[in-house]
Amino acid sequence: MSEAAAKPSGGARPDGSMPDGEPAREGWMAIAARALVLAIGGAVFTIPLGADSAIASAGLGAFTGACLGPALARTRLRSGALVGTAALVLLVALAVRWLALDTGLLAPSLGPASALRLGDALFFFLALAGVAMGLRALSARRRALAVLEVSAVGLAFAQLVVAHRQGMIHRPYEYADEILAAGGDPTHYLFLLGGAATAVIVLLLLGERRPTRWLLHLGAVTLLLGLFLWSDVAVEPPEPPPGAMGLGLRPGESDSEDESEGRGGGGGGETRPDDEDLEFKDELDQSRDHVPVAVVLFRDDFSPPYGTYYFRQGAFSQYNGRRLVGAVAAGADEDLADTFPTAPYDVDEPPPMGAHRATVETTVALLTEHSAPFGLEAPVRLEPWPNPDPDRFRRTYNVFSAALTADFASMIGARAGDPRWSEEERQLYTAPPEDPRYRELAERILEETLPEDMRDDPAARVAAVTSWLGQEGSYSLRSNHAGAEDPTAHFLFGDLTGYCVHFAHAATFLLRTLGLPTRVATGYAIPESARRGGSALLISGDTSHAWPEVYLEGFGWVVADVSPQTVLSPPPPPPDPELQNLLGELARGLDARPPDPEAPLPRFATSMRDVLVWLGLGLLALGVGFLVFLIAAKLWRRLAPRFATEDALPRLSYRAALDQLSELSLRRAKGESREAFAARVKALAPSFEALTRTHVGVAFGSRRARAAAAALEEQRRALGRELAAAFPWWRRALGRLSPWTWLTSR
Amino acid sequence: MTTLDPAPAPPSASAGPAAGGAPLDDAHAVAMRLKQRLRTAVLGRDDVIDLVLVALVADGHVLLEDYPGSGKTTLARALGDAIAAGAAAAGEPPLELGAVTIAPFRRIQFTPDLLPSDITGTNVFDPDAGGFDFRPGPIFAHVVLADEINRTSPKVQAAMLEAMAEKQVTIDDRSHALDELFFVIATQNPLDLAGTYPLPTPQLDRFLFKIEMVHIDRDAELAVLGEYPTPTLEKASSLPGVTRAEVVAARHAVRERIHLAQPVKEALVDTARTLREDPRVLQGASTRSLVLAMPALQARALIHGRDYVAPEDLEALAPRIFPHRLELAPGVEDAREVVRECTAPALERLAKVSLQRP
Repeated sequence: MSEAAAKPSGGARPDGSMPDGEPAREGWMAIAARALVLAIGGAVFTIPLGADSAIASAGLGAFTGACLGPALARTRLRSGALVGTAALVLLVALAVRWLALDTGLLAPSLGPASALRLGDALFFFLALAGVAMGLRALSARRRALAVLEVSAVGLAFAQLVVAHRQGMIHRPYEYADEILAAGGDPTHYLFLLGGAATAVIVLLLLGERRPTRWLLHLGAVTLLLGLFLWSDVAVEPPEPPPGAMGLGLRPGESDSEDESEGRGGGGGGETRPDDEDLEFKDELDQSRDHVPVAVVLFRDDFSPPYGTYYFRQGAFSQYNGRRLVGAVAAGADEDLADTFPTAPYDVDEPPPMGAHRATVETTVALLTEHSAPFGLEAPVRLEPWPNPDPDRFRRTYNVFSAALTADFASMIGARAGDPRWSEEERQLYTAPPEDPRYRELAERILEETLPEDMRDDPAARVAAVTSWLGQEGSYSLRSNHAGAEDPTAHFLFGDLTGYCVHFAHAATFLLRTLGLPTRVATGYAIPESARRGGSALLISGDTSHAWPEVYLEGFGWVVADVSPQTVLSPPPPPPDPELQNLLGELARGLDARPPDPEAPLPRFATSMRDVLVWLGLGLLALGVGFLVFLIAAKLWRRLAPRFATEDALPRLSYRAALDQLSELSLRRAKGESREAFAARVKALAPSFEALTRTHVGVAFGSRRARAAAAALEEQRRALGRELAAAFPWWRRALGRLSPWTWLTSR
Repeated sequence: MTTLDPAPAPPSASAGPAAGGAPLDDAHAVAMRLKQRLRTAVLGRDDVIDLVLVALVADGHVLLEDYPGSGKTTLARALGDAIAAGAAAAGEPPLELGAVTIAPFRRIQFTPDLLPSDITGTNVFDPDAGGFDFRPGPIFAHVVLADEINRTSPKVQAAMLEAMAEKQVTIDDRSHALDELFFVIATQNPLDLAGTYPLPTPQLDRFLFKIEMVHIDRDAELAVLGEYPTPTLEKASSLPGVTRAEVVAARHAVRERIHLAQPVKEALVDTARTLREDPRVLQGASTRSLVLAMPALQARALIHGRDYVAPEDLEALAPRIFPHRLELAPGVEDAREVVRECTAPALERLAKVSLQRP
């Protein structure tokens, strides 16, 4: 700090007594090396924030600023003004950014992309120049302030890997993958990386000439790093919370260890239910799919007549010779909602409403990405819905569904199909496999289970076929039909053991041979009981389902699911009710973390919190205590002359006078004699000279000065008056309030 | 150098009954009278005058290193005149020391062919008395100007320096004491070194100060011209002089009554030790120089109207006392800078002393 440069009116400064803090000139090599380090730091800092041009200009800006810093430090500006200058440059940077990007001045002439790049580049150039200039200037003034510079560069590096915090070692894959592949723990490598970077920076910046001090710095840094590593090992890194974002909602996470053999493609876990899941497979492993994929909020109370909520996402109605796939023909399956709503829209062909269906409003919040929206039974209208928590929910939308309220008995008598359908459409929905055994079996089922008069009724036929399949078939995730030419036939005419896709196809084909328009719908099916009376329903990946749907006139597509009575594989466990409620609350936009004070935080978090709390309190107490001490000491030094003995008066009175001067930044420079200092401040405070003379005289054994000591306090009062006349009131008030001015008086 | 108080009040103004008292006041008055005279006679050389006065009161000698025509003779003559005028005013006859009469002022021009006896004097056979008679040389004076001392042979230099150190000359086994007030102002030309015998460092050690004079500034030079046609010496002669007895008394007063605090002595020793340890210095300051420095510090305190030696005295005098006594390592040019650097830590300690509880 340029204390001595405080008031230029001090004028007469004897030569050879330059105030301290006058920074020595550095060689251009040193300046360039430091500027280079800051440039690297600036560029690294900008990597996650800007484009290539911004990174380059940030580095350039930091370099420029760092080169200007030492020159700034040599000016007469006070250190506070140095910081102010840097802040000003930052403000200018913000203003430039605002001008370039927000006012749209540049965009018309340069085009939006170039304007954005230019604005960003200018902003980062100026901002980093300002920061680097301030840091360099400060550390050129005071060696100790280089710690700010070092920390800034260190932080620039650290924020590159900041995504790793909380133990997310695999987050930026590019760093961790190779280490993991080699069998290492990336945490320690990352610590070492950061530490090494910091150590290099520290060494570069300190530029210590004396090797002993150099070694000391190195030792201190190594010790600090060791402490970091030790704390990492000893305090136990935080356990990653179950799943991402704290709630375990990403199927991708549990899948990332090894891809299940059935799932070839990469995106298998991300979009569901996808077609591959609905493939015929010998072994369907759903055990790892028990992760929430969405939460549905019921805006209307609705209880399905058949006890299960069906959420339809898509439907297969095109027979391709082996199985059913999604129809590509125009006009087919127009009742499906196939795009996420960006604006409210209605499906093209809503089911006939009437008395059999009721409108049910639900809100769906997706936790994983889906290829198409799904909704309760038959969505008729979709609306976008504000996402209450974008970190947690991928999408939210509102669905109005036409939910069937009629039970199956009331459908007796309804005709199959829609008379408005064209012949192609009817053909699409009723095209059966060529295998004659289907028809034979279907007719046998009708004969065996239905009385004669009912055999022509579509609804009765559906019931007969599905219930027969339910009685005869066994539900199992393990089957052996995937290799067959016609897996459905292999299932149906074989051991009748399979999962939903098998049953849905079997039922569909059987019904189609009977001439009923049938298709396989896909989505999620969850028993009503899972709601547990609440309005939120959590959908997990293992509830994905395929089921047959039949078109009945007046009713539309009606769910005709098969429920096998022999179940070899356990059904998916119900969703965790607390998680369901919690996510429901979150989807409503309420932050409903468990208000449970008993719930223990993870050990690391608690211990860390305790440590930090105590550390913070301790530091606060220490700081307050120190401040109180400073103020008390200042007061005491000022008042001490009043209580001083005759012997001590010259010393204490002069000390008080020095404090008075120090408050106004008038301090004796190192190496300056007391008399020279007195001569320097003479123009401002003539009384100080007499004070000095008496004080020095007494200290060095003058008899006469001792006799003159009685006048000291009077002189000091005169000094106060002179200073009051020489300095503005606010300057004196600032000095009075500052608790540490007495530390620098000497 | 900081002059705290260019025109200090006489010490008696603030003197208490038990203070330094009359002898110190008288000494201060003597110094001020001399200063006044010298400043009138020599313009623009106030710093040199102060140093010469310090050396005079401290019983030391000075070596002036400067250019011809820079006023050194005038300075020395003015000093001698002051003593002569004082004696005349007091009605004192010239001092007789044995058979020798001491002149107030003598000037010796040193040349290569000078012999020791040319300055000390010689025994001359007196046919009338039938014995040897001592004929004193120009060294028997209160103030001696030894002009261009480096031009003469080492033999003569040695005789001169012996006289300075011992305050006596020995001729034919007989010692002749010089007066107690024996003050030498030697000069040498810093540039014209051809055919000279530069004084070695041990001999320079005998001078309290070596003063490099620089050309006076423009205003002072104009003032010198402004005095024309009346010589400044003549102007000064109207001012009161000092007597030998007064100067001698002042010397005693200074030694006995100006307080030299222990921390100052410590600082003096610390400075010398720092100098000796400095890698740029091959041979440091001698202990003798420290002994000589003490009265010098006291003398400066007197001239500035103080009854104690202040740190500023050391700050001002250290660069005058030490540089010519140092043997510097090759390549080191600025001895005064070395001294200043080596004095700084001791001065800083000294500055802190005053705030410490005794």
